[in-house]
Amino acid sequence: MANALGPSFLGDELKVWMPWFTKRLLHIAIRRLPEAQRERFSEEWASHINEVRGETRKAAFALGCIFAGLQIASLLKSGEPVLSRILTRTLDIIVSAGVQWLKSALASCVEMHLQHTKAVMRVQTQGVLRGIPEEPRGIINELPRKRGLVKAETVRHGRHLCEGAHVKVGPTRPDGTAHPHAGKTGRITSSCVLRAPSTPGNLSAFMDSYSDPCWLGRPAAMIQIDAAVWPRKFIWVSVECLEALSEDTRS
Amino acid sequence: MSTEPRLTTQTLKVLGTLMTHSSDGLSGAEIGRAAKLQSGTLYPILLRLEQAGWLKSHWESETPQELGRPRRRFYQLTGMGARKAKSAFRDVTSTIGGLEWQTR
Repeated sequence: MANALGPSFLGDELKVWMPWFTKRLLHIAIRRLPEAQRERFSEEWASHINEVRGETRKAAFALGCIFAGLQIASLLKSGEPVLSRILTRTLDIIVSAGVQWLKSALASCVEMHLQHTKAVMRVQTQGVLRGIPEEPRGIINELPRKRGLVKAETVRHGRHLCEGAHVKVGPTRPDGTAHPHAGKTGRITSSCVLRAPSTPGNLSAFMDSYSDPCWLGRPAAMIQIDAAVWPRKFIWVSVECLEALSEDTRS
Repeated sequence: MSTEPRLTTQTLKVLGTLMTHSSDGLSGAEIGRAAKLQSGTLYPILLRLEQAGWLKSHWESETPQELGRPRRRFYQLTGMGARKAKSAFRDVTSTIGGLEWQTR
């Protein structure tokens, strides 16, 4: 019984759905056409489909109209004036070049970020710096927040410079210029690789606050100055500029 | 737009149909039936020939309201189209004749 009912049921369903399906196909075909040709072909194809007998044939006709629509669209596009075609092509090239440029810029940004992250990780894994890299927030007198309790440890001229180590700021900065904090002594309170803020406005404010851009991108340490004669109690200094003082020189 | 259309077998079928039945013109459905072409092939050819100036087309004179159905569009050969079609058929016939002669 199911065998007998199945095909008949399916046939009835098809009969009901086929006109809707054909109509949809024809609608799709007309949408493929250029705007100026839609009215003409929608009427012409509607009149043609009226003369086709059988729902399946009508659907086949409508399907053929989709291909016709695509061909007609391409035909009329290739018939556009040369100048218009050149302009369209130029625009295509510009857009595609722009997209390519954006892609490569994005890729290089990602690459730079990855390299930076890798460099930081390398520093950490080599034991040169075990502090958790963190961008300093707030003003210089605020201690940077630490994400973990990993003890910062740095190596300078074979000596370990860890948190709490007593150090002296050397006479020159890594670029060879005189260090503004030369001769100051203090303790390392934390260390990390500092990165410049991403936005130019923040960068300017950052530079103003810290006044020593030498250590940007390098391992740096925050020093709590021994004699708080300086208005700032804490300073950031590149690890390269630090000299470890022996324990007995501590004040 | 007067670029020469490519004379494919299907195009020749359409031209042949219009040459043999041409009076007031034939609708797309009639051409399709006579030339045994599907809609996907037929309408691009008709448009291409029309753009080349070989065909002209017009709507049925009555309105859809009067007819009670969508209007048909009739196609007929232009003078130039008829000349070109005849010349094309002459070329094809001579080529086929040549081939036939060679195969004997």
